[in-house]
Amino acid sequence: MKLKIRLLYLVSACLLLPAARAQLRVTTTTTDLAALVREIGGEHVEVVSLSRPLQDAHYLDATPGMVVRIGRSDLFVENGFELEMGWVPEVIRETRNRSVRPGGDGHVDASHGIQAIQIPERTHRDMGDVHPSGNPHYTLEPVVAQQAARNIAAGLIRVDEKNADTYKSNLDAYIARSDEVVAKWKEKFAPHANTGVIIYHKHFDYMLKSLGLNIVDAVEPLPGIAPSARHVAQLISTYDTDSVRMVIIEPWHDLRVGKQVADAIGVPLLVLCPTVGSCDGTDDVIALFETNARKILDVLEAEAGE
Amino acid sequence: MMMNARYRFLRGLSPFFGACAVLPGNPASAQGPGGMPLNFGAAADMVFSAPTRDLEESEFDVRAFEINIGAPVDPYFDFLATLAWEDDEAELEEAWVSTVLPWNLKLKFGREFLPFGNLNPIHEHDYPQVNAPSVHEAFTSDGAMIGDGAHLEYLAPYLNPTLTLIVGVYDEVHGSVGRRIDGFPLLARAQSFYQSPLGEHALMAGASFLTSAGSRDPMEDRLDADGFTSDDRARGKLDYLFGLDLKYKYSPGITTYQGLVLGAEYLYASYDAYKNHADFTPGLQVDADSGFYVYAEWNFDRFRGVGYRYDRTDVLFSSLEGGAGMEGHTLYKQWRPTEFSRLRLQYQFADNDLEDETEHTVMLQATFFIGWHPPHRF
Repeated sequence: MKLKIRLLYLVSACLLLPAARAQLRVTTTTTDLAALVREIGGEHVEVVSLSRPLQDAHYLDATPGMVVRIGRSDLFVENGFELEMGWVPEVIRETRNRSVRPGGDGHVDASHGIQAIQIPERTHRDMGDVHPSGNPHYTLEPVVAQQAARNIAAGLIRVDEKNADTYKSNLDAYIARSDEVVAKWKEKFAPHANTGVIIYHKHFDYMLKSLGLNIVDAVEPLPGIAPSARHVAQLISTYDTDSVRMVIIEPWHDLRVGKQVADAIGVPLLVLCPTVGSCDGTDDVIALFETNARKILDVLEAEAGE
Repeated sequence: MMMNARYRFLRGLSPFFGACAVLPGNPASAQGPGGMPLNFGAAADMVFSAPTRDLEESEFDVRAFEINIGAPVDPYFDFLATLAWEDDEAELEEAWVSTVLPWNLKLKFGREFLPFGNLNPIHEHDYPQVNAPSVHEAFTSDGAMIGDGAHLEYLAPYLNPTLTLIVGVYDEVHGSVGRRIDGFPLLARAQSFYQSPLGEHALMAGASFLTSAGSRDPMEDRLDADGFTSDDRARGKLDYLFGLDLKYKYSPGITTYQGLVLGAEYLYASYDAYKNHADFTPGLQVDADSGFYVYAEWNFDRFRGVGYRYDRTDVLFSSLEGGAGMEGHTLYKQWRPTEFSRLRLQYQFADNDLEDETEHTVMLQATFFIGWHPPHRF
């Protein structure tokens, strides 16, 4: 008798489950994309990122947890431009949810239609870890990320047409806000146009270019390749405080090497926030952009004030 | 005969080499016939080994050269094949198709590395150390157990921890105790994965079981006319093989690359000693051996890591050898200049009761990947 009652509860719970879940389940590969989904989906979505804020999405292991997570999702959003090619194909192959596979209604390649920078003319491994489709870190610049937001909105509408008006209006609001914010910071950076900076990895390039800064060199001799002593020495002997104003690095790289280069040139080492959620006050891609822009501007203005 | 086999092997691959050669762009994929994407890659695993006791026995070995081909067949099926060149022989190591079924099920059929434990499902060049732990060398042989058949995988809808149940049936399994198991070998495995809420700790634990439904081939054809063989593994047939495995990763929140990896595996083999064998004596017909390894690895960053492994095992059919065992201590350091190349320096101290001697061996391994390589799992 008890068993029958328990079974009855179980069946009832299963039947009630779809009705109880009003929100769409969305899984993204990065926290930046999760923030964009929240921006467009608002209260209609429950979003989870497969990577943590301080994880480099190039290098993750495919785990059974990821497979279950996207298997339970209505929508799966990936960055594209080969950022996650080391692990997402395995997760997609293992998932039981056909709709989140490429070509399915529940799959979004957020890079679709984005005009990438740094598309190599040819791709060979002797050029380092280059991405054939171009630089994948477009979410660091909110205006460039508008196309990703459009792709996400289209995906949300595909799987949840009844809230299409909300998604469209949230998209319009994001586009207007990002245009306004980026224009504001471009204006602030206008006096510093063409200021030279050295980067560690090609992570912030969309943002730096948008702000009119000049990326003169990188600590990595080639993308993804550890700097050699010779390359570091070459950087130090080539640049001075006139040609470079700062060295920019992500927190997951070797800060000692970045500091060695910065100290030898005589400029500050600036650790920027690489992803949404990696620093305080970086809850969305616009806040991330503003936080990083503020950090750079503070250095430039402090130097100008000396 | 061998030349013909090699020629056919290479000739069969020529369209794939051609496809890659003419198409620049993503080095990890090429366009196959009909313009459809085809993932194509190769791996080379080279090992220099020097026993310090007798340096003249040092050897340099191109341990394996592999070609990997994989792609979705259509919206319903995925395909992957690995052709390996080992010990001057070309071999089809893997060729399987997988498909998703209702009720969270997945079917994989063809030739595959048996989903048994931590190490068996992965290729030798991806092992955490240069060589396999002695328990694997003793019980599974030839690197891994490979089966022709199918397995069904159920992924329970639990998020954290997950639960995966696997049942497999095979026509035969190569490279296991007794070298080959016929008579529809059966496999069962349960595994669970847990990740802490902030993702810093991740743990995978599993239990595997392999047996045979029918008669097993004790490799009679490998015995000489007097019933002798130099291969211990032909002296009996497997009753069952049981394994427990564990893998833990800790990665501090501030960094992607730094972290600790712990791995362990325990194997228990129950077998019938081969009754026609000269060493067979009444009372030894049924016996069992066991062994385990445990290792810890610390990665300083994306490029460098160090580790230590301890392993201990009975030699297979140890009852015929007076309960002999093997014990080993292994230290290693690895460098990964990029995702596609890796160097490893390893020192191993091994104590073998059977031969009543200790061995000190220094090994240097270089592994290279070009083009596509199947993504790595946890």
